[in-house]
Amino acid sequence: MTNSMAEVNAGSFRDRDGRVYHFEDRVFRGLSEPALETYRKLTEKPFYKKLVESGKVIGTREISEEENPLPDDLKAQWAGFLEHDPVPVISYPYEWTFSMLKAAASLQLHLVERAISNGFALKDATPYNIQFVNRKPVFIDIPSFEILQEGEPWSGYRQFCEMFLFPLFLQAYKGTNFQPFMRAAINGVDVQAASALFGFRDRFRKGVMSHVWLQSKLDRRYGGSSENVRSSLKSAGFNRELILVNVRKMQKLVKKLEWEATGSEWGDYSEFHNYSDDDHVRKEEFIRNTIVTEQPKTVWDIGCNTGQFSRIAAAECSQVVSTDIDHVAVERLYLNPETPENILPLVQNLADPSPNWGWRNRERTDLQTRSKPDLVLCLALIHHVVITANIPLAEFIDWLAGLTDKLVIEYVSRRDDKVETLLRNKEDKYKDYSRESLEANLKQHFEIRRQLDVNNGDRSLYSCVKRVTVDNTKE
Amino acid sequence: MRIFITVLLMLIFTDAVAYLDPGTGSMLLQVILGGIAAVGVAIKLYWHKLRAWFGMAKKEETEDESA
Repeated sequence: MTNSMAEVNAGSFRDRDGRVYHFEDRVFRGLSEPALETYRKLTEKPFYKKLVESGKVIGTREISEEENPLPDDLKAQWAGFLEHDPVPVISYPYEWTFSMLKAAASLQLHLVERAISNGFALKDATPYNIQFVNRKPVFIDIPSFEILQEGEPWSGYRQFCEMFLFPLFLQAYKGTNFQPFMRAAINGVDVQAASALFGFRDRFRKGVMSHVWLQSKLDRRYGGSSENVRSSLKSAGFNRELILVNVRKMQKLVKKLEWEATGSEWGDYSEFHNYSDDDHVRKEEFIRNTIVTEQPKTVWDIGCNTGQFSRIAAAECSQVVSTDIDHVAVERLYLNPETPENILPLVQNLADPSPNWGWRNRERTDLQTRSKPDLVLCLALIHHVVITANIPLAEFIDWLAGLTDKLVIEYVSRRDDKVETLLRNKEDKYKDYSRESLEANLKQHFEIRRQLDVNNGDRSLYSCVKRVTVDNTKE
Repeated sequence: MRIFITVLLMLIFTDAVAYLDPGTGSMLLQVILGGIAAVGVAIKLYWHKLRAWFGMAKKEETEDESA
């Protein structure tokens, strides 16, 4: 057994007391002696057992030396190992919707409240420690739990503000999408940046005066203070009750934050599609048949809108990743009680997708690294890619061929009023946007297995399977 | 109440420096936001500081500062 078979998680380096390893679809975590000791104490606590049983904390067990399949040199680095239940698809806060971030924030606060009430604490407060499994937030970073030191303040408070509260404020109070801010800085929206973003009038919004304005003032004033504030607070009698007061106030504040997901261009699309119900049924049937025939495990629905076709896929496969550029549409998909649990809705712009970034550009990865689709649905999207985002059609099909072996793609003809609208105020430089061009490009990479024409031939669906390439001489 | 504690804390820690240390201000804010539950803590913080100013600090506190 060699080290190369076990892969170290590039994003798990911050805590010196542990490290995450991936091995044959299994997830392990090496722990230092003190972290292992803390973990063992934690597992004895009823509050922790309850959190695991209710699915709020990821299923985890300590494994013995004999059960541990990792290489010996890795085993020697740590006092002990845990195994975690795997998460189907890892996602990041800048891919979540407002309600997903809010749900993650509520979980984080719930865990802090439970921990502090039971003599434990959480050493940090980052949404990267939370993942969505069956559309519910789950906490995955067990060594974040530590024994509470009496007299210590809530150490994750500032991080909670920067990575949960301020992004939620931006969406709820300013109506601006928070995702670009979370993608711009790995540590979120810092206190000074938040203070600059929220003006005088915003200070009268709930929570802004204290958590943004006052925190930024205190931060400027005492940021470089030589005082040991931690020990001053301790000797002045700071205690766990005070943390609980603050956490409970924060819970109330987060609960009240609302963003009304309306007014988007595409959020209402499914209710206003421009083809007949009969065509719609045929389209659904075509997609269902393809998925039943091809039996993919993981389906990506790119440009999913409110997810009507994701739902068809979800009934026939184990995992659907549904992405759309439109925050409103994805938010509706997430909030819809009828959305099946095996759909993971994510906000993603194909022309500006999640990058590889953070430390060594490996800490956070692109979506393709985290999920490999067996089949991709690309419905009523190509005109947006080619005409709106100016991506050449040939490049788009080439990218799809690199992403997936199986593809269902819809062509929307120039006669379709959606395309007419896109071209209305644009110089038509899109000579590559034609049925012939699409079919020719598809045939370079794929074999077209089936075709369905709908809407009087203005729209066509192609079910494609990648050609097996035998020519390796180009390398 | 919040204003009272804020003013109290503003009086205690007076040195302002340009670079940022994560959390000092955020820790103090937790006392301010603690409201009534934090009044005792704020007053004690003030009292310790006052004693230090008048050279009445406890021995271990002086040692801490020299360390």
